[in-house]
Amino acid sequence: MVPLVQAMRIEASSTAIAPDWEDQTLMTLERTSRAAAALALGAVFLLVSGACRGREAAGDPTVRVDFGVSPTPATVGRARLLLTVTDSADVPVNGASIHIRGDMKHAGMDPVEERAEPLGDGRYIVPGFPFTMAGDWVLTASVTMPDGSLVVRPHPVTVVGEWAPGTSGVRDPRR
Amino acid sequence: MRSAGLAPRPGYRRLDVLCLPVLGRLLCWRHSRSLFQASLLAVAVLVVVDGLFGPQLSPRNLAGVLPWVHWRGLVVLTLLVAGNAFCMACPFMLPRRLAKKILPRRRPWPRALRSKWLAASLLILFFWAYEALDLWASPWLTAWLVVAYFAGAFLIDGLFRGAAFCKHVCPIGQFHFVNSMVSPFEVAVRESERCIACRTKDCIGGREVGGRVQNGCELWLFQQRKVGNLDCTFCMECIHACPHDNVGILVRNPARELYDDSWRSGLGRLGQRPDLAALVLVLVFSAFLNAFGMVSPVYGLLASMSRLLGTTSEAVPLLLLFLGGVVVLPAVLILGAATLTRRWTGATLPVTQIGTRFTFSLVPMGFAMWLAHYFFHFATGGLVLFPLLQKYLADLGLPLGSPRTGSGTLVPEGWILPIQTVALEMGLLLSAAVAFRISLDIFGDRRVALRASLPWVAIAVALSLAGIWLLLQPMEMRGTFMAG
Repeated sequence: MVPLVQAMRIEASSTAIAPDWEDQTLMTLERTSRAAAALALGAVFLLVSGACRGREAAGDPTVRVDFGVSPTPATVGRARLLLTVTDSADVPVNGASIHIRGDMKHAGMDPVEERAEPLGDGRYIVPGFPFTMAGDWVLTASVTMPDGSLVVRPHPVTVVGEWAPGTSGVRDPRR
Repeated sequence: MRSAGLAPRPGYRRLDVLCLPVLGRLLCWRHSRSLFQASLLAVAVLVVVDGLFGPQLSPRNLAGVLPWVHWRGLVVLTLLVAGNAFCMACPFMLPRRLAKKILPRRRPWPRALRSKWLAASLLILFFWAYEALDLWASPWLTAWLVVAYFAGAFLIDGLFRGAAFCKHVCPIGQFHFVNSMVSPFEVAVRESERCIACRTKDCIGGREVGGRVQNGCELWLFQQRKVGNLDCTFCMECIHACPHDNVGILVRNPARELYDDSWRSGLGRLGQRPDLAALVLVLVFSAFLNAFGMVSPVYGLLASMSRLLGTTSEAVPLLLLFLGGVVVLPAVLILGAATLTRRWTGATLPVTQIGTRFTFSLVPMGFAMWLAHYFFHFATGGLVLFPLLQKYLADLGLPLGSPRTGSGTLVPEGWILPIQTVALEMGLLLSAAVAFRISLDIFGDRRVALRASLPWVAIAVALSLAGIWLLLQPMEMRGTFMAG
């Protein structure tokens, strides 16, 4: 049996006397295989992550969530949100739990999160939802229905502005 | 890690990044650029995947956050403290390597397009599209923009010689090139005497190193005659190609290249490049217009324009606003200031030549506005990335729990406006100083130079005041102004 070190030496010497075309072919193969591996990895990643990260499920499409925002148009500061939840038969849904998240359409702004309180007759209220800046907002209501299923509904709101000096235009009415 | 024979030399007069203990060694490594590019390629893949398949609300999507909050913020901060690092790490150049292998790449870039006119026009188009299509609010469009960028770089650099995409087309690259003129570091020759003695000029021609071809500069910047950062992508090809280890990343006087009108390789004289001056003007005035697009008064103005034009489309008044703000207004101001300079000095130089030369004095003011604007978004939203990444990875099945939402602010809110104001005032000071140095270079006499620079200082002051006014306006981030 040839010792490992000796075998490596033999391989090295045979490589040294190999013709140029062989070296070039090997190098090309190496490059191609590296590129192919990178592309394949990228493609797999795309497929897997794309498939796994679907758009947020909206839940039962027959459940209706109506938004009311007061004042209208909404202004920077606290606003009253009134939500009405009805099922497919237009019957008010009581006993649901509603979480509201407000995002500005421009990334990078802090989201605002509140819980809605039940008023009865399928109605839920957030008495003072803080709109922290003027602009386009999207309110997302995540409604956990009495049977435990989740219904998610977005609602766009345009907030018109006031301004507090020295805050780069950002006003936080929660303070 | 192999240093490719680029061991730092002791005794250089200027600080050389390549001589720094860890960073220098990393940058000297032959594959360092590929490493940076691969990292940003991974980020670009995340942006494309999440933009196409993820939730379409910008703050909850990596395509809404990474490019518009983090990348822009980090670009301006890196330009401020270092140089054009983002061109160095540009992921769009990775497919170019593939394109060079499989596409013919025989044609020279058309002579008619060998200027910055196309790039300046594309920049206007991009800034207009950013507002008209609400790119900042659309992860899907952002993802396609990234894909289009990859396709554009692949095709153009696959069909044409050199780095035509970087030099003549890429709007992002032009942003980096122009604003890196005020950066504190540049890729430059360490000892000019060595270049005089050099016969091979490998920094531009390339050479064979260990059986492989090491390219020289593909943007045709010959180190011996290169001045400053304009058109330099920090690709480091010249650093690796120089057989004398005579190219480094050196500290310098920021903005000096703005008043240096010596002939520069790949560019000629700044004073004889109206296309470059136009590019600078587009970038300077876009900085203010882009910020104007985020404050309340813009909606009133656009609504009035719409009523006047009898249209309900937001694209048309926006287009007029952009053409007025980055073409007509700068042209009027520059020609007016150049005429005053000429009249007050009795100079015989053509007005266009005076205007071209002095336009470069406005670069610091424009950069200061970009810095103030993009720093704001980065400072107020820098930390939103972490819950977003956590959610992304959790959606992929990793057991990371549910992300906590909270403040994304990196810097206390009370600090932001003072920092922005200081940035604007520093920009004003630098612009005024550069205007005076340009003036001194042209007219020689200090009194005449002072008089000649006054119109340009006045423009810089006006821009600075406009910037302060913008910072003090109530922010309002709307994509559909007609709805309001």
